[in-house]
Amino acid sequence: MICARFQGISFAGRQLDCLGSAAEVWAWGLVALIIAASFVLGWRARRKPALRLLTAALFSLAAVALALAIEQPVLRQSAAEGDGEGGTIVVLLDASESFWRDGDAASAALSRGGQRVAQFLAQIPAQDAAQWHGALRLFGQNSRAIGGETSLANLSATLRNYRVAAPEPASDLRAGLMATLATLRSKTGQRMVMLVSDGWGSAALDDALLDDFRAEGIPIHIVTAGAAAPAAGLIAADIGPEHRLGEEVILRGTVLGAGEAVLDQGESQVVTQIADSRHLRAMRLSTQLSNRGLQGVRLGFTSDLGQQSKSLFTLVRGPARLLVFGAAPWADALPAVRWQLERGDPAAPPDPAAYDLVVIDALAPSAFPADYTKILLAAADGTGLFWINGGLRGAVDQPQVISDWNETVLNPILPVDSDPRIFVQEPPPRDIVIMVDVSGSMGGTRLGSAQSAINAILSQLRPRDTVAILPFADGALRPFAQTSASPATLDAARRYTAGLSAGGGTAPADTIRDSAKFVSNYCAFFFISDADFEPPQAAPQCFTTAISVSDSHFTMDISKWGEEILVGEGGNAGAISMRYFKPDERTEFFRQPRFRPVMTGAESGLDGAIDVDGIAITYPRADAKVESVHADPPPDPVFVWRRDASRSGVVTGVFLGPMGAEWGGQALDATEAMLNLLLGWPDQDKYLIRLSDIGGSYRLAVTEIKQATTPGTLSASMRWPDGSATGISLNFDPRLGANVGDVVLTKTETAQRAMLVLQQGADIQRIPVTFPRSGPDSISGAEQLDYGVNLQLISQIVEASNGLALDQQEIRFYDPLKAAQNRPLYPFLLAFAFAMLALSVWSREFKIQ
Amino acid sequence: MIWAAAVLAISALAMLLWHMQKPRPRRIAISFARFVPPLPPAPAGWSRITLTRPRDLPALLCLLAAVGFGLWALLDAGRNHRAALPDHLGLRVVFDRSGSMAVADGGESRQTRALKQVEAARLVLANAGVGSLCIEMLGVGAAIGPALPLAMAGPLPADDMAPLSEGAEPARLLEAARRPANGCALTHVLVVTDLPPQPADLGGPLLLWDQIGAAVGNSGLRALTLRPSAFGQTTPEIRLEGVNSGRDAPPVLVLTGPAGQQNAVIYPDPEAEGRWYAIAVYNGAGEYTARLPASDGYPGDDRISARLDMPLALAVDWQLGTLPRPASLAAGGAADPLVTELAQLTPQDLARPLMLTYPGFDSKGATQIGPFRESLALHSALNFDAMEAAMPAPYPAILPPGFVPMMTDDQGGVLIAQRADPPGLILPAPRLDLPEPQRSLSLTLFFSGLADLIVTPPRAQPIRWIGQDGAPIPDAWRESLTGRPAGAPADLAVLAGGSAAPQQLPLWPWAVLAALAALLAEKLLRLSRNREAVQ
Repeated sequence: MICARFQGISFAGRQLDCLGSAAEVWAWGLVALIIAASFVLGWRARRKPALRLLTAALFSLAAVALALAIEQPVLRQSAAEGDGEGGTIVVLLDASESFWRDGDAASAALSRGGQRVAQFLAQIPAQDAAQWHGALRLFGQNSRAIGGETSLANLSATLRNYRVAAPEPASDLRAGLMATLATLRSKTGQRMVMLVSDGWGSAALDDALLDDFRAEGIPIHIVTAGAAAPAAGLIAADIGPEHRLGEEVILRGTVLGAGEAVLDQGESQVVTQIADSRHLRAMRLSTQLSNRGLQGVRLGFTSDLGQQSKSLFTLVRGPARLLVFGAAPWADALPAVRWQLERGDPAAPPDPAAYDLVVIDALAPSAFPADYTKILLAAADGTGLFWINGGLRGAVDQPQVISDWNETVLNPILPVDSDPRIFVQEPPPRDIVIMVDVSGSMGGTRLGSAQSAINAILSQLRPRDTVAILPFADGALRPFAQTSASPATLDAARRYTAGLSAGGGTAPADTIRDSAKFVSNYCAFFFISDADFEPPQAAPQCFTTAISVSDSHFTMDISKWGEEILVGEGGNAGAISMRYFKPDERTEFFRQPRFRPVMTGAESGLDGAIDVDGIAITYPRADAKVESVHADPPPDPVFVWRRDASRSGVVTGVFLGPMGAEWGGQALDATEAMLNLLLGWPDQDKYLIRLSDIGGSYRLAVTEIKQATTPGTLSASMRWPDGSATGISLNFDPRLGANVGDVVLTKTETAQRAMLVLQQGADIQRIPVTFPRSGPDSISGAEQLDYGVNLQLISQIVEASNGLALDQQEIRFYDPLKAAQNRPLYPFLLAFAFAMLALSVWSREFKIQ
Repeated sequence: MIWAAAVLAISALAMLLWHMQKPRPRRIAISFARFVPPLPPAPAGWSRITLTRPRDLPALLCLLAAVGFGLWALLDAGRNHRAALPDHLGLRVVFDRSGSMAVADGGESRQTRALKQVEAARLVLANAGVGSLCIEMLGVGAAIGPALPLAMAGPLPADDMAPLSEGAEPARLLEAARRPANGCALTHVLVVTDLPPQPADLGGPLLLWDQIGAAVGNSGLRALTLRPSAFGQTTPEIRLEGVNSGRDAPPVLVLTGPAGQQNAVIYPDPEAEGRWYAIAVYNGAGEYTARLPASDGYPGDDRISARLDMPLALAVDWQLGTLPRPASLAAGGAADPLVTELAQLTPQDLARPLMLTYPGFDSKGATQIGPFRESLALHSALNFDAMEAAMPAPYPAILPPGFVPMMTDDQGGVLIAQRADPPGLILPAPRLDLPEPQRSLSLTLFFSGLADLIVTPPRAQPIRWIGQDGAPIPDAWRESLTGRPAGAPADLAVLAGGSAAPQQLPLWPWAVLAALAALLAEKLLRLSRNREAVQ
């Protein structure tokens, strides 16, 4: 009664509890009477009121203490600080098709699991229940957790309602058990696994894994369910792994039961009715594929049981489809075995996305319909674009054809910029290399002039530029390493310059050779010397300003270097004007006359070894690759190409001069090499590639057929139209003799184009991929004909892990023993009560003077 | 309880004394006092207490009755408490003697902690107030030791409780807990171990699981598997697997084999947290020893040794006449997979891993492929278009037991059949004298199947764990997880408790109620008078 009102309050780490007694009602009745009588007696007494009150209060207190004792109050060990560690139950649920084929049986098994959890929870003392946790994990193609940790009550409810929406064609029980073991190893208290499965798995279970469970004392309890019959519908499907363009493609399948088979290629569908049969039946559908690369089709099957589908891929090889606008006389000479040429009418151009490469020869955007530039931009992800500027249009001071393309939406993906204003206003980052002679002849004022020249160069750099200083005498000396030209770097460079001293002979050859590694699209070399040396054989591979700090001119052919500036001994380098840093705004857009380009790029086979009849003057973008340049400074680019950094499927190239018929004759190889660079998939026979729908994801298998031309590990990634990329982790499977990796794809309502990028060292192959639109859940795999329960595996698991078959048994709760920690309070209350009683009697002796 | 009774007795005495006082003399003022000799001083305090008739006998009797009822209540409560105590306590200590009990954490070894727990348990029993006591002890390592009686006092037999160089597991500890008693009637079983607690019903004795030991990081070797070379395309590999518990795995391990020593880089296993693996080159048959850098929690799992006898090339029992054994395969015997022709098949061969060929390409087959089942190994290399262009004839006999068709032709003839256990495959025989594309097809089909049959996944090899003294340690891997979280200590007070005994319905609350009634009676008695008997 009264005690119960204070039940639960904590005291010294314990909680008050009242065990109660049938006598307590009577007790409190008596207490009420005793208190009343005490105060009446006190009121009647002829003593001072305070003393009367004291006596009555002490007597009443004694009575209350006795009544409280009757309620049997105890101090109980606090639940919050109890010794119970609780525990964890992980439910490992089979997400495979064979388990969920009979959805009702699977749901019933899951409910039974939920019931077992609830029964277990019911055995746990209420104060310990909060320390028990549960988790749900699926295993199918792989293993994954569903949600986080939860209470056992929630877990039970979840199991009763949970359904696997998309059953998977395999069940990797081993992966599920390994992940579960890793989870439970970090837990304290009791741990157990509830496996809900039919026991049919796609990967063998090794004894060592079950030993691990046994060693950890983690039992695997099992709830089983199985389908009553093998799967009906689509059992297996296959498409030939390789085809040529335009060839008949046959899809073969195996079905069980009646239904409608649909071959879906996006724009077209082939439908076949399959008659009912109690036996496996073969199915054949045929179609044609008109695109190169890994082409996917979707095979669907609709029956009374629902819809199934599977994506099938085949590698379609064939000549690259080349769409040519303009004259391009060389195109007719391209070998038909590798190039499928089609000439387009700019006034009525076909869809460029259907081609591997589009060539626009000397045609301005105005030759095409107004919106065609946008169509080209959209198609660029997967279709290479190659512009040929052609010969001089109008006068040299008039913008050329490429300038017109720079004015369109395609400008961001073009490899060059032909607008000099932009270049002058904000040149791209420059790589500055200063080669300085510190030989003995430079002693005295010459070295001072050289140092002032270096400081003059440094003063014109921006933080986005880089700078390197390469001193030389008898040979290359310790350099100032290439670094971004931040203010701190420039200060360090000035201190480095001030520390230079003269001595030794003059041999610039090594330094000039070393400078080659600093070559970039926007490199600028400075060569500072007293010109007192034998002319070197090699010229720097970048526009070079040669500064003489003596009164002598350089002896080499300076026209092959760039420009020469004569500062003279004791000259003021700060006053000189360097052409590189102050480029005049160009007034010319075309450079004549005929010249032989110089190859500067890393790619081989691009040298046509023929003259070019002038080029449009442009500036390569910072990320473009300049493969050939004008023979004379400035190094205006001739053939430039680039792969877009954000959309690596976009590859564009530009030839800035005219390409006449000779490019289909003696220079045909160079022409093909240029086209191949832009094509992306130049070597169709390098790899055998297979892509398989494994339900929920796709498995890529790449077998290298040709020896790699450059050393390196094979890597793969899938590039999507939005510019994003998905890396594919490849592992070599010796049984397949292939590098195998998985690709996860978001379901879409339409077919999806992508680019499979295979890279091995410097060799990159970009293979177009078409993923068919997503259908219903993909069904296939090794468990299609499995049904019932794999009792052998189930028994093995139960026995090896000391688990239970929960179809027959329930899990018993093991309560870690705790001593009865109730500390009774009645002895205290009784002692207190009678002490108060004695005090109340003696209080009648008290007096107040 | 005794102290409470003493308080009650003192209270009763106090009340009795109060009632035994002489009445206090009335205060009198006499005006002619100076003519009378001085009065003796009024009795005060203790001097008034005397053996006399109590001043208010009925009231005193009521109060004493209340005290009596209170004492009765205490007596009854004490009797109830004693009734709950058992007559006998018999304790079995199951003592983990596995290698990890030698691991030190917090300055002392787990064995030392365990001994302290046993000592504490012995003390609890001794103070339980129970007349009949007995303790026995079982040590558990890789095997269960004999049940030894344990004295209630004196030093513990440390030698019988010292850690052994071997592993234990929870199931074995439970098995020891369930063993029949050796002369001691068991009421409790105390398992002292560093392994996590196990739910168990011992069918009588109560189980008390005491997990001792704090987490100590450790890395250990767990398994060694061999991956054979795939037709000479890959190097045969040794895959070493291990676990790390409460710490990161070391960067490398050292493998010593017939060809010398090699360092293998350790990588975390992406499939399972807490596991790692390392790949090393297999240099042929011989003794291999793998060693982890020492200085972690449990040293017994840092070194393993294995006798590996796999030939560098896969061995097959090649009895095929139409095709010579590939150079990358070694000649095998009766223990190796058999590659043979249908004509040479004997009933005994069916019990072996088997690749059975039949003369499928000797005659023309059907025109189209019929129902088939998906098989990754066969599909990966087989081109169905090519297959239909050169269809083999079907298997000309009834399929042996266990084989199921994997591919049939459109006439229902079986082209390929497979068996799961022991592995088996039936395929058209390869022939080198066929025109293309039959020749390539027959070879592709045959070698795909052969690879599927004999290039098995990595196989675990028997290994021995070697201690620092060179002695083998059975099942050392069971001791590797010394980094597991520490468990809660067992409540040894349970050993003395009689909570299992049914509680008698207590009478003492009614006695207290009677005391209250006595107090009320005292009040009512005093109220019934017109004036107080005692002032």
